[in-house]
Amino acid sequence: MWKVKTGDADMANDGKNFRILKTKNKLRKQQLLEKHYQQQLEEHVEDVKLSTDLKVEMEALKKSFGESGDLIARTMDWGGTLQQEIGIVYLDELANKDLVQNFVIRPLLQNESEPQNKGDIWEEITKNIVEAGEIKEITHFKEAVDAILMGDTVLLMDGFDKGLVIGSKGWVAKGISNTRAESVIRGSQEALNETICISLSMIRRRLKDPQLRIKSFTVGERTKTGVMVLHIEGVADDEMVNEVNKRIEAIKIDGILESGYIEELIQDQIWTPFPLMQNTERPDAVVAHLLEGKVAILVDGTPHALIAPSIFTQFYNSPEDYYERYLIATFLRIIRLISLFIALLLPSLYIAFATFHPEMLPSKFAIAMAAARAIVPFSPFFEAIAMEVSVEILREASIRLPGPMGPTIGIVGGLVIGNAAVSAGLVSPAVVIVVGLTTISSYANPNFNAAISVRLLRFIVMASAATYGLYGIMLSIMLILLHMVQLRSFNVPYMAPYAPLDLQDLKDSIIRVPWKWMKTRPVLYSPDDVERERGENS
Amino acid sequence: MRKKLLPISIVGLIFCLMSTGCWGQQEIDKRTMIVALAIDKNPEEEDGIELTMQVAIPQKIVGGGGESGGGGGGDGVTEIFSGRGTHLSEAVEEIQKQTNYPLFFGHTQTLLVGEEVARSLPAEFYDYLRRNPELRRRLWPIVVQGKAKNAIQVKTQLEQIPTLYLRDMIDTNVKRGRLPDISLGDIYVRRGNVPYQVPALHYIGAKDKTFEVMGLAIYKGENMVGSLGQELSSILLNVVDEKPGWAISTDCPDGAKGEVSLWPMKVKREIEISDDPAVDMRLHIKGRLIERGCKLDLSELAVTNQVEKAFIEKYEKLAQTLVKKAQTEFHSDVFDLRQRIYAYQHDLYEKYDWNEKINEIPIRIQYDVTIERMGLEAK
Amino acid sequence: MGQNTRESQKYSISSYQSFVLLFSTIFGAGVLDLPRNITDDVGNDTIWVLIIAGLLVWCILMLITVLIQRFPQESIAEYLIKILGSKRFVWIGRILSVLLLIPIAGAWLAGSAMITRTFGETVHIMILTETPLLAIMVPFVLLVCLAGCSQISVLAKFSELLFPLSLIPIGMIIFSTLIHGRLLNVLPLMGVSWEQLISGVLTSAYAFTGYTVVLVFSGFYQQPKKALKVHSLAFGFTFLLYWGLCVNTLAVFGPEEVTKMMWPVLEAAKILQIPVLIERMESIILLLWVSTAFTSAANLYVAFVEMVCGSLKWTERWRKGVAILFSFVILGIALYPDRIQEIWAFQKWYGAIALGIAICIPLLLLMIALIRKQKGEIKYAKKTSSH
Repeated sequence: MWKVKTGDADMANDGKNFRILKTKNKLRKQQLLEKHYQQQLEEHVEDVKLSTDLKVEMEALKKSFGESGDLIARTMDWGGTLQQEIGIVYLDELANKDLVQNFVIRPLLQNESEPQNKGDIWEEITKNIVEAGEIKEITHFKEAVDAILMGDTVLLMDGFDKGLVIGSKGWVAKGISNTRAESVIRGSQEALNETICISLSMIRRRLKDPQLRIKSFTVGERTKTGVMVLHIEGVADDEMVNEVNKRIEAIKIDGILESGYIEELIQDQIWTPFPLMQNTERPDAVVAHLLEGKVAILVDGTPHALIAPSIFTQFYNSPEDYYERYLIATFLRIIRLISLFIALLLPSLYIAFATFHPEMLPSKFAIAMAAARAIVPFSPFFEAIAMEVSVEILREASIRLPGPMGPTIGIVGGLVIGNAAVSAGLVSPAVVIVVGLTTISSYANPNFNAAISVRLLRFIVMASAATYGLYGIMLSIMLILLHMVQLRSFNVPYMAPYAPLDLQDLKDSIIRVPWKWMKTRPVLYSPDDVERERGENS
Repeated sequence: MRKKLLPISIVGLIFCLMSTGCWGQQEIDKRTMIVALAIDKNPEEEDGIELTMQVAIPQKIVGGGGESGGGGGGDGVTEIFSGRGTHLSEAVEEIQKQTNYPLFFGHTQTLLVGEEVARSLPAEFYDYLRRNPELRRRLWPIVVQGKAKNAIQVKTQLEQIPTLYLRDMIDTNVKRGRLPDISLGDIYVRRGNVPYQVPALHYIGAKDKTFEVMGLAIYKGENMVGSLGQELSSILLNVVDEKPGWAISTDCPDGAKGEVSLWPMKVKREIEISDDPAVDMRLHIKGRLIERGCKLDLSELAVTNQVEKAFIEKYEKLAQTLVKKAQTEFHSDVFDLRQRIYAYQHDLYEKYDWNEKINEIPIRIQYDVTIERMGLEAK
Repeated sequence: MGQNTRESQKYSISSYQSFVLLFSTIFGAGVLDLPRNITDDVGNDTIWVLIIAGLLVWCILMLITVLIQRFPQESIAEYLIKILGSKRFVWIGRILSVLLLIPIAGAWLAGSAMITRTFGETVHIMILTETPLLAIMVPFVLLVCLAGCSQISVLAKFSELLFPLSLIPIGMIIFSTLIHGRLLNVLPLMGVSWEQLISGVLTSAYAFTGYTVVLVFSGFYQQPKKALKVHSLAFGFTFLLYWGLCVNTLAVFGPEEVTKMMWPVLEAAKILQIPVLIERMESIILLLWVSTAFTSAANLYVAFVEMVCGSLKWTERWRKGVAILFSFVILGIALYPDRIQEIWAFQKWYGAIALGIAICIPLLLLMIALIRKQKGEIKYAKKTSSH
């Protein structure tokens, strides 16, 4: 059982109230638990100032890290006659040891200067001797702990109640790698990095605009993950930027491990299968979105950046659309839209026609289908569901299989199992074709999270097709449309520019008009600076 | 709560659906797929009909069922069921008693009517066919020489399901302009018009392993009164539908021995109904010469004109025969003239009783033939 | 972000959206048996009797639009009180306005129910013969209820998305008439007596109902000044489609046959074929009709809910409750007639009564407003980021 520290009067009465209102009590218990953990957290890191006694401080630091082996705390004497004690604390794996040893410790040890009085020692050391580029003075214990956790070095001096934080971040980071999920044929293959500074560097390199604004947050009580919100001032809508900032500040959670946490915590509606924010690992895509007036959110620890707001058409665009010529881009977008319909509707159409409306098929085709199904014992609905579920399982499995086996199993498995099922008379060949086409169509979507939503909805449509046939398909499509139409992503209607119809923005939806006609940014995001191109582009 | 309405309603809906079951579903292979209907007079009773249905057997159709296909097609791919009753729904119920799955009319391609029945069918006969939503209005009604049951039992070699063979046959001929484009729906429509008339229908004979187009079946009012052979039906199609009809042959001009044949391609018709009342029709036919059986030099225009004249004579002679037959033998308005008078010259329509008058007034048909092309041979 | 407050909804419907809204409200299930109803009364003369009916309805619509334009950006619930009430006795205004609103709103509720029932019957008879009528109508009513819980701007966007589907009948008309139509079936045009004329006009009035919803929707227009033009366009487009479909069925089937069929328009669609691909177009036409019938029923219902919430000044929280409550009423009304003939009788009565309401009430209001010299003002919209 846990012990609660200082006087909590409510706790004493708690026993009496227990039997009276159980639910009230539960909430109460919840609150008390929270209070306790909060206290525990703060116990470790109280908001006290640094004391002048070096030894005490060093002990306190070591204790707050639980005497862990990776905390390096070194004391040294400086200055011949003055014998000033200096303590240096840093975390072994997070700090750049070269910097600490060569530019902090060595200058201190080798320095011969002798300031006149004690008061000048601080100035002397911090301004003249320490050879690091980034320094900051701190006064509170908590700041020291945070700094050490960030990878910086803390320098404390006996007799002074302040400390110096020296920027020395230098952990081992992954280099710039290729995109895994968003590769294109034409265009850069770089992906954003797990370390937020490297991601930021990639973006800065592509967007050398001084108007790029970055606001940093630390989200997550325990993980203290660094989150950066980027926008271009003068292009993005200020209201929306403020809204994004507000929502991120309002997050109260103990850990943020991936941008997905943030996405879920700040999006407008959670009761929807559709993604309301896009995520991308391509820096060029991030810059493109920034240029359109959107806001980008970088999260430390993951290469996936978030883009807010996002609308439906965005999820069917690939950056390659802008790198290839416009006719090709238009053609590919139309293909993707067709694949959306196929992925959503094809199995349901099969079920509807085979079960309810065979008279609507051409006669020869209907008789052939009846012939194919004659030996199959299951209903079309069951066939379709069984095949779809098997394909989904195969897909999940193929992601986790090692190396080159993964995708192969997916394809081969599908074919072999399908063929075997047909031979055994368990399913009809038409179903195998239908399911195969559906699977391939759902891969045509460049965005994984949008494709997933279609995969989910497919089952709903199949169920309604099995109950009401074509009427059911139409009803479920209308239900989905009704739902999509009232979605908003940061106050931008999700189905724009189709509804509300905005002819100007249609120039970059299912078609992509040549660059010389795309003179204005999408009106949708209410950019302040509307013109993209100034001057003549012939 | 507002945001939860959507998922809750979906879940609730799914619950309701799953617990109550799906009603209308009947899988495609669990239906008795009727591809053709045949109606004959009931041999046993005075009144009444015998209904025969041709059903496709899915398992026996080659190309289905994975690797375990059936044997070669043709034999035994379809099954025949018969039922008798005083009217259609009774006969259908009789047949339903013999089949394992419910009857499904969605893919019925043809309706074969035996000649005997066609001559004595009552008006409300079609009521059952109309009310059924499954029957398509585009199915072909065909009058069969003799008994329809024989026609429906023909086993064709070229096509697994004989009805599809018949349907394709009629499709081809309709496209070529040799048979009128009259489907079941058109019969309903024509019957509904004020001057009531069932139009001329396809007339088929059943042979050993195939069907043969015999011409057209002529109706007066509700019942069949006779049939037209190939040549006369060409004339009828020219007049009524502006369709070219069959190829036509005539003796070579100038008494030469042999025949020339023309394949008509385009027809243009002008009808004038004067107030006498009298009907004047001019038909312009453009066609292609397909065979020359005698020595003639067709590269000269004069010769071609002579040949054209020979064709005109032949056509006009046939037309006269047809008019006479229609007016004296059939007593029927085969040219669908009453409808035209009703629509375009309504006062004239009001003056006489056209059921009788149509057989009395003079109908003059004039032809004009142009041979456009001669194929690959220059002479 | 405050999307659901009344203020933020004020300027939410653009002129294109109002066009689409009006069109999809009128163009609904009433058109399926329109040819049969009119041809029953007037025979071949449907062609020009329908035009007369259209003109009549257009005049009424213009009347209503003039009334709307006098009070821009206010829904009828608001300016009704202004017109009828006096400054001294505020309660007179409220009572009178409720009295007048009840028939209008009731007409919408009944209209929604009628569409549900007619559409349910169509599906039940033509496509899903085994499924009980209740099972067909319940999901439909559920969806209508869901739509009723939403704001008008949501419905506007929804109608916008489904609008292109409604253009398919154009293609159908053209192809069907050219391929299967015969001029012989359309002529002769004989004269009709006055009774036949009036009966025909009244029957076709049912097919046009729904235009009164602009009384409520206009409260949210962004550009009320354009309302005359937009409404005329929307109505003209609907009317052309109706007229085209009637002429098409008449040309293909002839007057006798048309009166014998339940739904001539569907049958005309049935005989169209795309070779090889689809042998019967009815599957596509059915999909189209589900969406048009649904938009009509949903728009009517949303107008109803909006009217109720607006006039009783209930907050947004109650919208859902009202929507759910009255959807049961819709189901009840829809289930009330037992036989097809009763439905037809119901339709005729409803058409006549709705026409009467549509003529009398706006005329009365307009006259009172003119006499009392009442007008609203246009408040220009602030810059909103999106609608």
